[in-house]
Amino acid sequence: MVDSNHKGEVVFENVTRAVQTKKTETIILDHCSFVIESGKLTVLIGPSGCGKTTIINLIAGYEKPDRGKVLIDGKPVAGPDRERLVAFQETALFPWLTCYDNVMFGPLATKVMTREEAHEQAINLLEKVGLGDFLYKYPMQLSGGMMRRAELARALINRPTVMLMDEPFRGLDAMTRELMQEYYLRLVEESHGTHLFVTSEIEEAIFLADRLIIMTNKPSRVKHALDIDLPRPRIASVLRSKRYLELKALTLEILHEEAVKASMASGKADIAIDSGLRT
Amino acid sequence: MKNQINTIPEKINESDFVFERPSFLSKIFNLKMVLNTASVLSLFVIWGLLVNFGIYRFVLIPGPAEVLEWGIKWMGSKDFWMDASLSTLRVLGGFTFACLIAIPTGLMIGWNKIFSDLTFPTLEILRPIPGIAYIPIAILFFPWEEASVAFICFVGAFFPILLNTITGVKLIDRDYFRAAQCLGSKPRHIFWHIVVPGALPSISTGAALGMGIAWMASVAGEMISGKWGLGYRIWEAYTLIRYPLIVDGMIVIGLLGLGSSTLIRFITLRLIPWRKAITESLDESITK
Repeated sequence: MVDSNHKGEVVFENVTRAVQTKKTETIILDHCSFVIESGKLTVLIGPSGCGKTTIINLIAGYEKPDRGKVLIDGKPVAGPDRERLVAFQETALFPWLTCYDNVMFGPLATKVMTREEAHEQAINLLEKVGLGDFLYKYPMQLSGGMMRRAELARALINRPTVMLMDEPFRGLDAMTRELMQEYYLRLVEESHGTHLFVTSEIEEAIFLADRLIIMTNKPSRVKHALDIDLPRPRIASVLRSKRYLELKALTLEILHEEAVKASMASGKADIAIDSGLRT
Repeated sequence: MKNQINTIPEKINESDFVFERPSFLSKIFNLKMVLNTASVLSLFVIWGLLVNFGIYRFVLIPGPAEVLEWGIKWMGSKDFWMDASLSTLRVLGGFTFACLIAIPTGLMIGWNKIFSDLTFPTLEILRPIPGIAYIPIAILFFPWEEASVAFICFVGAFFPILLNTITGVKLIDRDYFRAAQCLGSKPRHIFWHIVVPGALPSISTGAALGMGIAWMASVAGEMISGKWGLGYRIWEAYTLIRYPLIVDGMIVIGLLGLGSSTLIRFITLRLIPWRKAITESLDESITK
């Protein structure tokens, strides 16, 4: 089923992750298991605060699971690595570097390609995301949408095996967001890498995804996984197709169930367990 | 852009547009300059009035006219140039050494936990000791009097630069480190490409502060040791009852201090071009 040329299969095996404060322990992920297939764009969707960012951090290696395993191509994650790239919620472009220098940062840090190769690719990518005229502007001189696009270029030039997108288009206005999704899809459809995209927007999720993973509310598990069989390359007209509307209705139904459960549970406040677990 | 706009009439009448050409007068007397000049002038006017009308004990203070007279005489003599240049050299010497030691130390303290635990407590004990308190020790220790005054300046400038450098590193967004890590940056690379540029704006603030304190310290140092220097000249003027010269000395220190902080601002703007870009775009949005 999986093309053997593709790398970057991510497997979560019974992963539990809890955050401990002095007196309480909040379980964020509870025996969470799922597979992110290589070479596909998987979208993770769930109510806000359900631990989506934690999943990103676990794959990136910024956090470690308390129980269970996070495996990349069969090997457990050991710390951050350039094979797994994160695009952050808020832009993390370096303000002291120009747009172009930001994109060149990865290649120059790792020296996996020569400066000339990197230069060519950087210019190429920046033009592709519509920043050809803004190469030597500093991030602060760019608009929100431009910054996100520069960040995409900065990540993709490194050809990561796994690309992790943590609500990268949050806070953009609707028009810019739509545009960003199209830029993003174009780049993904060319790159053939493994992508994990986290969002809380249903339209965005279905429009982008090959596979949709729906999370339950805290403590999180996988509630449902859907294959999105809309044709590629995806264009905006997909949003009016019958299949799209069916998928959206289905997703909404599943998410609604979760939302109801969440509002019922909210009377019990957060799942805060006295840390009797810790001796 | 151009081909999107189809609605522009082919012929444009010049009279449709009114260009406001800045007049000659408005070029010279823009509001900012007028206000700046007024600010400096008012200082002299208020001072002159207070002395002239002898309000409270201002009768004892020399007025602007006397100060000007003495100032011209002083500036014509060799003394003035020795005083001004020696003071400046002492301050710059102490300041430069402070930068050379405080900035690398601060970067390491901010970045490396072990180095921080190793050095920070000691520095915290030394910090509250004012530069002036070092004067006797400095005179004892240094065989050369220039070095002892420069050392006092060094102590004064050291801590503001150090503390601002540490804060500069600590305030760098965690996401920048994370982003650098997953872009394949190793610790050494992170130090030079994230820690150093990230802390630069704060370091420049520290340098400006440190420069001010170095001037302060130099005057105190020169009052006690030294045969030349602005601080020495002020004290000498007091003991010899040449009161107007005291004020002249103060004015020269003020001007030299202004000059050195302008120099620092100029240098740091060169080192931090992205800051300039930010302030320019801010200015634009304000004037719009």
